[in-house]
Amino acid sequence: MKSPMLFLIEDEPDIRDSLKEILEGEGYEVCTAANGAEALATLETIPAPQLILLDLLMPVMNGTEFLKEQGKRPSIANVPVVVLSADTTRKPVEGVSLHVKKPIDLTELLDVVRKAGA
Amino acid sequence: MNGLGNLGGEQLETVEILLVDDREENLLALEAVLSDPGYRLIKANSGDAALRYLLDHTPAVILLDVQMPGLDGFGTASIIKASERTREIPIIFLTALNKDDKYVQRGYEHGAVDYIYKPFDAHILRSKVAVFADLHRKNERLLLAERKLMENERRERERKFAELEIRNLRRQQLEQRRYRELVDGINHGVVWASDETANVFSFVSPRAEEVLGYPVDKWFEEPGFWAAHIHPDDRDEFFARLKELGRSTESIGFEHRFLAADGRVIWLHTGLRLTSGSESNDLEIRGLSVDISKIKEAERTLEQSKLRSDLLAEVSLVLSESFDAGVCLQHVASSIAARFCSWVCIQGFDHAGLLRTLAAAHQDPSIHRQAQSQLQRWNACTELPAPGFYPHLPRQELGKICFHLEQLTFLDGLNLNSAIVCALTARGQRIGTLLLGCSGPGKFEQSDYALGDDLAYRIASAIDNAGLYREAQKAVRMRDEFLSIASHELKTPLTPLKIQTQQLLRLISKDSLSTVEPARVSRMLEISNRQIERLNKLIEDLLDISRISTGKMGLRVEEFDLMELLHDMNQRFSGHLAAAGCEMKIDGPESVRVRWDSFRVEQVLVNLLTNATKYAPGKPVEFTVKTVPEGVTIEVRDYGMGIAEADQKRIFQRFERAVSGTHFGGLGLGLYISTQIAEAHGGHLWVESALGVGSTFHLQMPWEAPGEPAETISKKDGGLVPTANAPVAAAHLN
Repeated sequence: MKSPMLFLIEDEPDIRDSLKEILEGEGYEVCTAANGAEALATLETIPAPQLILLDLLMPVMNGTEFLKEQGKRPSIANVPVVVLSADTTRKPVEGVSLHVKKPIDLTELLDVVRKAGA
Repeated sequence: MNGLGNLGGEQLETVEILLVDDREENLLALEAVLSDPGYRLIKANSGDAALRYLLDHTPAVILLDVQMPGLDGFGTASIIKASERTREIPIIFLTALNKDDKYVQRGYEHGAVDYIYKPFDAHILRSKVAVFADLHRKNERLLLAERKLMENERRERERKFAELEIRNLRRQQLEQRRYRELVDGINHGVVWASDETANVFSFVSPRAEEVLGYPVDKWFEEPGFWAAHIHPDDRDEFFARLKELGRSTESIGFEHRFLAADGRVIWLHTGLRLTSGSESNDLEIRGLSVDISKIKEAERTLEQSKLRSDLLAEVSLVLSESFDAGVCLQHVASSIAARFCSWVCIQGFDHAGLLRTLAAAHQDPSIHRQAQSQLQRWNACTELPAPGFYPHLPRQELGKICFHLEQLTFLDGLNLNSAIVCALTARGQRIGTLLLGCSGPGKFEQSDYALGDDLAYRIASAIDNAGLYREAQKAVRMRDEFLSIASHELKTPLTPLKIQTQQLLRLISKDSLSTVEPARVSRMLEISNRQIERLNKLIEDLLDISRISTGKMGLRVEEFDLMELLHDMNQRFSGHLAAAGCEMKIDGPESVRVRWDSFRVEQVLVNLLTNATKYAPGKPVEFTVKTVPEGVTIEVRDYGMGIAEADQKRIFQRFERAVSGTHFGGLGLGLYISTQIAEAHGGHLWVESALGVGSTFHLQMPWEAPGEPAETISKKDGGLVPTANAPVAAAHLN
């Protein structure tokens, strides 16, 4: 069976690379993008991922804007999203039930990813 | 014959004695026997004659012969006894006839009191007659006495009655006098009486002249005088009330104005009463008109005061309800126009420093609508009127009360007769104007000016508070934004740090650490280390901000070579520069020795460098050092996206960035801190930039940082205090 594919959208290279490495170590296939726009472009060229890991604060197109766009594209509209958020004060993002707070706890992240059906 | 009829020597009244006998000789004999000064003897020779006599006489006793032709004694006696008037007269029968008891009995039955037989005994006769005469006299006396008594009583009654009359009269006189005195004593009122149409006056109290100014005669001479001098506006009501008086009520009272002789308008309270006249049956009006001008004045003042305090209360309430000055002020203007004066206009400065007409209101709804539609045209004010009180407002002065020249025609149409211009000031500064205009009835008075000032004070405070509130809100918003960005920024290095650490722990716990390439482990630890550096920098920046705001960031000044520092920087950041594709070029003299806080200055230069690499990747960053006698300038030039002119000032402020916070990371503190450092050195940091071309930051510094310890540079949000120069080792240069 093909490994489940995760799509990681995160602008900080250090976080992006670390997470990619670790998740690949866990047996997942990981695609990445540095911001929302890049993500959308890439997602058009690949099959829909099992799960999207989404950072909110990014340049060019941030997480909130990405979510809006995601909803408009039927091919990816139903892909579950896990928001990686550093902001403890902000309310949870509408329409997204899974949140992982930064700094990311690895165990928690792997748990959420597993439970999300990937 | 005095002996018999004489009672104790008194003169006796003459009594009449009636002798009735048909025989003359008997009558004479009787006469002789009974002759007495006290008797008047009347002879009658028949029953008829006797009766005739008795028609209008009342003798004391009747001596009646029984035997008479025609009407005999008994018959006569019966008739005598039958008459009410003569019934009581004692009758003595004279008879020669039968001494028989039956006969006698008959005689008594016929009313006799006694019988005397002929021939009679003179003594006995005289005695018997005397008795009856006496009786009669006594009777007469009693009657007389009774009559006298009644007469006395009557006189007594009359006397008492007369006395009562006199007392009443006196009392009336007294009352009249008192009344007159009372009436005279009313020195603020007039008592009057007139016919029922109040046309012809029958009485006016003398005080009338004092109270109303017209001589009393006028009232009588001119009919209708009273009504003619009632204020024209109140006349109709007066006559209506008069009619009412006649119809339904007995007395009424109402207030009205009267035109006094000296032209004053006096307020009177007139009470009217309709009564029947004292002399005739005509109806009369009695009136009392009291001067209540003072009361009215007090009422008016009280009413005004109440109006004012109500207005102030309402205005305060409206102003306190919302911080949205625009909406508020319109409400306030409308309130003032509704309650106080016809025209209200308010102007104030907006945040760009532009003077604008903020609100306008008029009492008349249609004019109000007109004003509202014109507000746009008067928006940017051309005039700032000087505060003042205009008790008169001739046309040529209208310019002094308008906010915009285009307002003049509008104001002209309002027909204002007076105006009040109050400056709105807050914290010693003029922040606008409150204009009040009056178009009648009445004009503004000095006391209204005071009210205007009061209103202006409240309005100015409200505007100021709204401004402060806005600023506070903005500050809070920015702080919240800062906090959200800060938390993101601080957590960003923590994430990989945590991930790397956890991963290493997992590898160790699975006993697989040995299977991992050392190079990979190194890389993981490098990543971790980098994050720690980033965190450290962030923390330092935040601490700097804190120090700056509490004025505790001190400079440690020392002598060093600026060029050396720059070259050092280039080396240290080579990795970072390479990653960004930026080349750091340094141009300037060989050596530039300065006396600055090298640590802090480096902080500034590094900040400028990292900004350039972030916003202008792939392009060179040029550092140019120029020297002049006064000091040194370091120019940092990049070829990046540039900064829009509107943002150029803003980016140096705390928490500000040229791009929005949600797109780019970074706390936006760098330039703010750099500016503070530059200024603490007595220097200056600014930028030249054009969009799409690039930016050049200029750091201009004196040769030496100022060193007086007492010198405090006070900034509105804390500042840097340069400390005395200390020979500190250049440990900051790593």
